Amino acid sequence: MPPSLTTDHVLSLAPDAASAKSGKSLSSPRSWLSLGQHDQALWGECQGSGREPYRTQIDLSEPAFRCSCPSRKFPCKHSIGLMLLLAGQPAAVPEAAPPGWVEEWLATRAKSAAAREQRRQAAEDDPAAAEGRRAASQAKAAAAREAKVSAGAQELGVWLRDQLREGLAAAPGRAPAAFERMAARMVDAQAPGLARLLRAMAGTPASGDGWQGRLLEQLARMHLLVEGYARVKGTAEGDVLTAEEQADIRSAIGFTQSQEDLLRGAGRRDRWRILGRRVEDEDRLRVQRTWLWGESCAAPALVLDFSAAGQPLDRSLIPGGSLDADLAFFPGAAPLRALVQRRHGGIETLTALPSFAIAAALGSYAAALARSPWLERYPLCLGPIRLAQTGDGWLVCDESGRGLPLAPQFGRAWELVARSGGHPFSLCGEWDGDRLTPISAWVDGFIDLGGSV
Amino acid sequence: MAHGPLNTASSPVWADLVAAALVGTERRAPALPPADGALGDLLGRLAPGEDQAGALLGVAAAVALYRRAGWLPPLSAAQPFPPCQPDDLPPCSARAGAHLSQMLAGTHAAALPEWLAALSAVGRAVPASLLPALLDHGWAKASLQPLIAPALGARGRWLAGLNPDWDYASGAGAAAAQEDVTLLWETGSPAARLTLLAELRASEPDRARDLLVASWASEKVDDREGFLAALAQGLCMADEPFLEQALNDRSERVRKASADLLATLTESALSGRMVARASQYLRWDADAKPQIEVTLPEEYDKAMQRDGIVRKPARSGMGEKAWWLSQMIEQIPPDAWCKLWDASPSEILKAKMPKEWRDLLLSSWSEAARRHGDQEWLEALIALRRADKKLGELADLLPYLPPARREALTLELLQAYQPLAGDHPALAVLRSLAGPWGHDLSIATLDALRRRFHADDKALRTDWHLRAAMLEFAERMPADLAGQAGAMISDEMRELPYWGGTITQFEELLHFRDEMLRALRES
Repeated sequence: MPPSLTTDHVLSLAPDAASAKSGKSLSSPRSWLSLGQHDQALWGECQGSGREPYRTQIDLSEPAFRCSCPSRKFPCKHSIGLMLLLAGQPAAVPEAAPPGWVEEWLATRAKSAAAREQRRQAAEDDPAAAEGRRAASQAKAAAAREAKVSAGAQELGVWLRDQLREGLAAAPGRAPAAFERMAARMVDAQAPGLARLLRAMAGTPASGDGWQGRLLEQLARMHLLVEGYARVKGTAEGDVLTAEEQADIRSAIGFTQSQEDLLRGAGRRDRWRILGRRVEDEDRLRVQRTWLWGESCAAPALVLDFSAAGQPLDRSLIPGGSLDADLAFFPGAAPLRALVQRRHGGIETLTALPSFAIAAALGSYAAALARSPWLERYPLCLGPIRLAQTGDGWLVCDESGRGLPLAPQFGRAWELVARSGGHPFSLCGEWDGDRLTPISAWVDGFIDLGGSV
Repeated sequence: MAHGPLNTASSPVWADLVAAALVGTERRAPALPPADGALGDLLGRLAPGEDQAGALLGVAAAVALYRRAGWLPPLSAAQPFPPCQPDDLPPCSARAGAHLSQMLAGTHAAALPEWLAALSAVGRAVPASLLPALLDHGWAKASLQPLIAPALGARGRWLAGLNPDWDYASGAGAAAAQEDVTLLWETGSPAARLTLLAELRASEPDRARDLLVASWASEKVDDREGFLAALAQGLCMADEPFLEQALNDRSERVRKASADLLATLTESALSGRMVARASQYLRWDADAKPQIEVTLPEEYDKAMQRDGIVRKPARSGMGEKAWWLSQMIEQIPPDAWCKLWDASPSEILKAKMPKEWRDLLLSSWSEAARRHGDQEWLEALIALRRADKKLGELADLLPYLPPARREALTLELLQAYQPLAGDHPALAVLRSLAGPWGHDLSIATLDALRRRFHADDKALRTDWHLRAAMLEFAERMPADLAGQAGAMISDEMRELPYWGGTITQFEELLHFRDEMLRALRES
């Protein structure tokens, strides 16, 4: 946890807006029958609708939560409320020795942490034996999948050419069904990345003015991917692709990289500023993108987290903080996605956001795009900028007078105008090649703009 | 889209490719675009052989990436907002801000007016981050606008001026800030001008009126009516010439508004005319047993029309002539009758009246006593209604007395009857009694509520009237009674069928108000 717990940090832990709201209503001392804290833990008893009061306890070192309430949300509203109370009125929670039920839980946690460490140690001591057992069975499955994906990609290549042969003018009549069918075919072919791109494309013919150009660009980019994969497999001739380029293609098609292998490799140590995050629902999966910025490498990184509906996401990278850590990057021509390999110390409070002129920030994007054409999103750190309103929506303007369009879904532009008072400030956002979706800003301090609350 | 990142029309090469893709390669073979440099070399290697569709896709992929990587946003004609003036008020504390944020999200929203008033009282401003949500809230809820305006500070006023939805607040504080009042008056939106006029009226009443007089002829009917209402504050005889002029207005609503203002000035010519007019129809017979004779006006004349008497009855079941008479009586300060007849209010009210006109006289005098705030008449009317056992009428009279007196009377009423049920005469009075209430009345009300819940009679479950009243009470009782209220309510009461939720809400709202006012005082 950051040294000083703030209300914003706590709210960023809430799984959804409803939990944050209920949490706020429990953030007053009178909602609690008993309260207490010591250097590691925070606890309280809250009278809910049940007969027995709910026992809420929080291990502040991670933080980790436990509550006896039946809520399936995690952390539950009681945990949120208890932390909000601590953040808002620290004096209301007395220092005390933990009662039995807290003591017990903390002891269990310490024990399981020790067991985990032991297992990790064991795997490190004898990696070869474990590896060998796994490798044999995996190699067979992998070969079968490669064959399936190859066949699917080949089929997709023919389908793409068919679209162009018949002409895109016919697309609005066929979409979205034709795209959905092909997407389903790619799911069968075990190429989920291709399926996802096809599904995203299904809405393009109905997306209004200029759809023709957008559709051609999407089809062409997919063609590039299919052709690239054929070269990876050696079924087509052409330039030899580097290992990094091959990795980009495989990951865009939907092959996953073993995270364990990655974590065993070398990491890049830096002080990583946590710029912000966005959470989006894709199919039945919730995807969280946390964007980082390395202070000495002056380059971005992306940490992805996935969760099935209702399950908690990893919220340990708190926007507005910074972290001394080793990051393991997924291989690629313009490496962006990474895993936190090892932390050196806790999260510290950020003192500034990186900020660049629009042209410079787009220059980094262009360089990354040139190396990795399937790049879908890239963080832009802009400043000093101001906002301008036009008939078509909001623009982020820098001193050069250039204006970058904000995503129309972004609902907090007026709040930024109010907070900045019309003075220049810094803004970080996710650039999708067309529009910027802000994730954070710096106006007399950090402002988290990406959370769902 | 003017700011669309990549514009098809702006790039002929890409437009050609899109055109070729739309037609389809089987209808027309695509022509490859010419290009120089590295892109030209790359495109040269993609020359179409047999596979025309594949070549078009390849070329499109290369050109699309080339354009996207090289794209810079155009220089924009749009101007960022000009920076605002330095803040004139410090923002309230983070905790007070959190309370506001909760209310704006819909929790305990009933306490928002009190919060805004308390904020202005401690000389703090709304935190910048919450200004947009608050201004939106005021846009949807016009009754809050007069409270929002003083809580904004320089930054809020600046912000309100940037969004047409919020301009009701952009005139706020301009008068105090010595900004260019005349310019704002001449160019502002109707809502901003109304705010400006009301504020200026409070500080410089004559200047406000002169501003209005100068532009009066060119104002729209709806605006004229609204502006007149703003003059009610600080009304004095200096306003009479203008208001008398406004009686010639073509609009009936404007004439009525102007007449209503003049009528509150007892010295005004209109008051004199109205007394002279009405006294033709009410005659006082000062016998040993005094009585009042009533005749009705026969004709609706031009003079009546000019003095704001409306021709068509607004209340159903009332004849035209009776309607005219009642409007006259309502305009006249009731004290005028005492002078005219040399009698006290209670003597007048006890006089014999024609049975058919008694209700009309009493209701018109009640209205007149309310409008002119005549204590003596209000007291006499209350005594009469109590003697007549018409307790239902008290809710329209009691709230107009000064706070201490009205609460003492309400307390008396509350304790005279048991239990506090939906049909209790004090309940209607309590519901129309504005807050904040004093401690005595509040504690007595809490006690009456406690006894009612404790008795848990049969009618309690369906006592919707009392239930609706509970939440109003929680808005009006002094917030520092929160602890005492909590102590008076037992767990059994919180679990009463149908009632638990309301009782909890009552407690929570009181507690919230208590915390919110504390946070503001501490900030």
